[in-house]
Amino acid sequence: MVEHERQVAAGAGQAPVAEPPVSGEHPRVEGRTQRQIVWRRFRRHRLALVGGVVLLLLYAAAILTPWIAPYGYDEIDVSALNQPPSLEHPMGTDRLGRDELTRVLYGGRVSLMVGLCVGIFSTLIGATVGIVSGYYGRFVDSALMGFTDYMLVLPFLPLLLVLGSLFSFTPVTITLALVLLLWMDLARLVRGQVLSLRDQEFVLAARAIGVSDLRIMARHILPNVVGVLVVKATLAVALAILLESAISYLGFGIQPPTPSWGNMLTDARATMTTQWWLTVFPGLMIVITALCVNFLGDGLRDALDPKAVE
Amino acid sequence: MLEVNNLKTYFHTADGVVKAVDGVSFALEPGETLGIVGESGSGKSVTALSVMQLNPQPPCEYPEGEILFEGRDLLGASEKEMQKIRGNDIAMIFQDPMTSLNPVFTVGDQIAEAIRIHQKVSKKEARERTVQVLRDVGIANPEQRAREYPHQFSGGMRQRAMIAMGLACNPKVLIADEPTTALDVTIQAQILELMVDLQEKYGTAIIMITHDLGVVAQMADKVMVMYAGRSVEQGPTDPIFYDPLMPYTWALLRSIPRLDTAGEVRLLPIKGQPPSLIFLPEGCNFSPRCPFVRDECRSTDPALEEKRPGHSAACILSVQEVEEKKHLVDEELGVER
Amino acid sequence: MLAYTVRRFLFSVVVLFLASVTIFVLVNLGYDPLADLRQNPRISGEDIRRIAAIYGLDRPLHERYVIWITDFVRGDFGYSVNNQSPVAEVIGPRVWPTVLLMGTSLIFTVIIAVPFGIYSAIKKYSTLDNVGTFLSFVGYSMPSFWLGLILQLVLGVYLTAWAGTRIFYTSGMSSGEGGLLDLLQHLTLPVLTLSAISIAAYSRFQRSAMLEVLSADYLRTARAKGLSQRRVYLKHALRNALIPIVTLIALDMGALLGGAIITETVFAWPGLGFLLADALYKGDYNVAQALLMISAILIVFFNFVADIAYSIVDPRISYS
Repeated sequence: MVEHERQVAAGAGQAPVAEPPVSGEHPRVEGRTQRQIVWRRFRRHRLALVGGVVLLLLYAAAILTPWIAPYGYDEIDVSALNQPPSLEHPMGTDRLGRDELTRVLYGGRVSLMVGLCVGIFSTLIGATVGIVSGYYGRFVDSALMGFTDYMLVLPFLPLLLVLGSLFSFTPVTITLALVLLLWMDLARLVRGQVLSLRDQEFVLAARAIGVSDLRIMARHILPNVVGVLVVKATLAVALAILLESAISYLGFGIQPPTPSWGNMLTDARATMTTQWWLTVFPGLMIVITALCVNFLGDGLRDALDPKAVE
Repeated sequence: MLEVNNLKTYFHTADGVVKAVDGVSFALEPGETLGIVGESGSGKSVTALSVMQLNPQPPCEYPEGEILFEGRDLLGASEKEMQKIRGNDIAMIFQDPMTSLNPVFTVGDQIAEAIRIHQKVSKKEARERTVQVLRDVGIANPEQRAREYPHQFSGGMRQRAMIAMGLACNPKVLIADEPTTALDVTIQAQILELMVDLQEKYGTAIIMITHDLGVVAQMADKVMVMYAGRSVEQGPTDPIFYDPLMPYTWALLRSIPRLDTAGEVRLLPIKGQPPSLIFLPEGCNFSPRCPFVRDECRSTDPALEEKRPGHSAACILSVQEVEEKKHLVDEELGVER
Repeated sequence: MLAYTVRRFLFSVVVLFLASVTIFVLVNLGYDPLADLRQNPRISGEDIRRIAAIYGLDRPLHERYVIWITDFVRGDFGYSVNNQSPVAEVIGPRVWPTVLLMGTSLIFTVIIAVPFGIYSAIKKYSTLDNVGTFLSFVGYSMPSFWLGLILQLVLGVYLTAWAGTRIFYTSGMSSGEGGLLDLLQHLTLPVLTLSAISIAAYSRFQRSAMLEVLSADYLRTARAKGLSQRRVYLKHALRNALIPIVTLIALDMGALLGGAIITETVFAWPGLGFLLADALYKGDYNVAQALLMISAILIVFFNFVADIAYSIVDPRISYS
């Protein structure tokens, strides 16, 4: 219920269709290109900017982890067992004396990368299915949408757990599983957009000239759908990160010793009341990441929505 | 009955103060039809909304002017007082009947609501009156139709229903903001005819706002031409159409194709675009685009002056000068006078 | 309308059939319910073969599927190896706890989120709206299991220590002493966990729906008729703005089981979600299959309910 609502809430608001801007209303100001308008509006959304910057930092940290981590991942310091946060260990240590900050960094690599890849691939698949389905219509549309509807019926969290207990998930396989379960929503959304675009005059004109279907889809339809895609992609990233951590926490996701924020929290559960830092910090990282992604997505949606008044 | 004097309606926006209406005056007598004509953005709709006091108050401000309805200044009226007047003494109908009617209530309910707000009648009586007014606007099978929803009506029927809703309480003034613009041409004619009939029957005064000169020519007793928030020409319909004294009006008429002169007469499009209402040009608002422009036009802001009895125009050129200029261009275009 | 229902029903059956195949194949691919027994050196291979024959586990996959599905539609969900009892009896007592938990959360969510969303839309960009929007973002960026853990820590452990007496329970449904208060003490934390995130999502959704309505032309018409701004909001706007959320609620009810899993597990709440996680841990494939299938059926059913509900509240939609 909750995961489903997340998707809905994050998608609340009209899906924008990009249109060329109307210029000339203001004789003193030159007309701006679409890209300039989008960038300008995005810049005004402060939270989105902050979110974007923080995300970049997080991903940079994830990539550079081996170089910037203060300690080794498995470096045990017997003299510093179960230490609360301090200057030497900003996030404390665990029962083996391992530095929590280092572990959080390594855990972040997995969680962040899974999130990003799921976002990218589920968007690619969903967009392709949606565009092809909406553009060709009739039989192709019925077949693809029938398949999409079938997949939407499958209860995805339970299924994810089943898959997790079947195949010990590695970061790669969990990405695959999440992509398989998340592309449908985007496909339907894109299909809806394409259906309304397909009958518009500029497409009919292109077909009349004899432009090939593929070219029409790539050069005429896709740019108009990009707005929706980008927004939904960011939301998919957030959802993926939350899902991965949830099932890893339950033990069905990324298996130790590969660290992920989710399975770090499983370990921390036993000592939750005495070593609160082991529970708080990994979870906090999840929240911060998801929050930044959501702010970014919201800012992008506002920036790309042609109906918003400046 | 309705007298607007020097109305100014300004909007405070992030980009500056939009002078949507910048000193407009007109009068309306019972049973008269006033046509307000102008391009998009000329301020005609805002004028109407100002009379109804329906402009959203935080960004909107009325720095000057008065709107006298039966002697009372509406600009000083409280919200409660305006609510009594709206729909009851002065009614307004809008351009797009599909979006102007609430899709989740039946048409009959919406019309009955208009009645019950202002008159202490029972539900049954309101329903009866609803059916009657639907019949008056030419909707067949009104009892059945009243129970239906707006999406079940055709475009023309919806507009008729809107007119019915506007006239339900027998208002003294009906303001129609582009009532036929969203409709097919054939339906347009029907709706206009209907409005003329109803006006005769009920004696309602009508303010017809439109950008379509043809509509105005058909229906209006007098005309006010608006440009960039100001009234630039006012007077009875015929003189304005046959002998406009403001270059803008004349240019407007010359830019529209006419069936009877098609092929014989050239069109004269007006170059440029209407000015931004935040940054109005110096001097006459129309000077950047005026075909008869002179140097003085760019420095002097012409006031609306009576050029002939009952016929005012806002132009510094004298009547003779305008006539001469028109004559020259008309000859070139092939227009017969 | 009837034709639509029939078509829908047939389509649902087809989809559920496909889903059942998927579920069965996935669950049975990985599970060997006899794994424990095989490892036990005191049970011979002969015994294992006999046990397999009793449970029909030696038959090929597709035969086992047919047996399972035909039994399922007749209400026989198979036998739970772990619990030594029919699956139906294992599932039965867990239904009410899940319904109680999810139902309470849903009601609580709707009561708070819908008015808040509407008010936020009307007072767009006010302080309340901005704060609410920010909190909503935080709300649905939060992993529900982590929120549960934090609430257990803060409102369970720390609050109890500070207050000297137990205020909220961090696990289970009742401490055996019964009584409404006891139930509420157990129910509060899980409901808060679920609701926090739900409220964030629902209020955003409702705000967005209301904003769309607020820009509609028919509100202007209503004002032009002489209605007060308040009447316009409460009658004309509201009636339209509440339409989308009806569908959302119906769809949410369909996702009931999936949504329960994490929270029930964190709080050891004895419902269907916890049962599923537990069954998967222990390899009790019959229970897992049955629950997955029930979940799929719920989704299909409530999708249908959502469509019907939508056609009821929105006169523009009709299926005839």
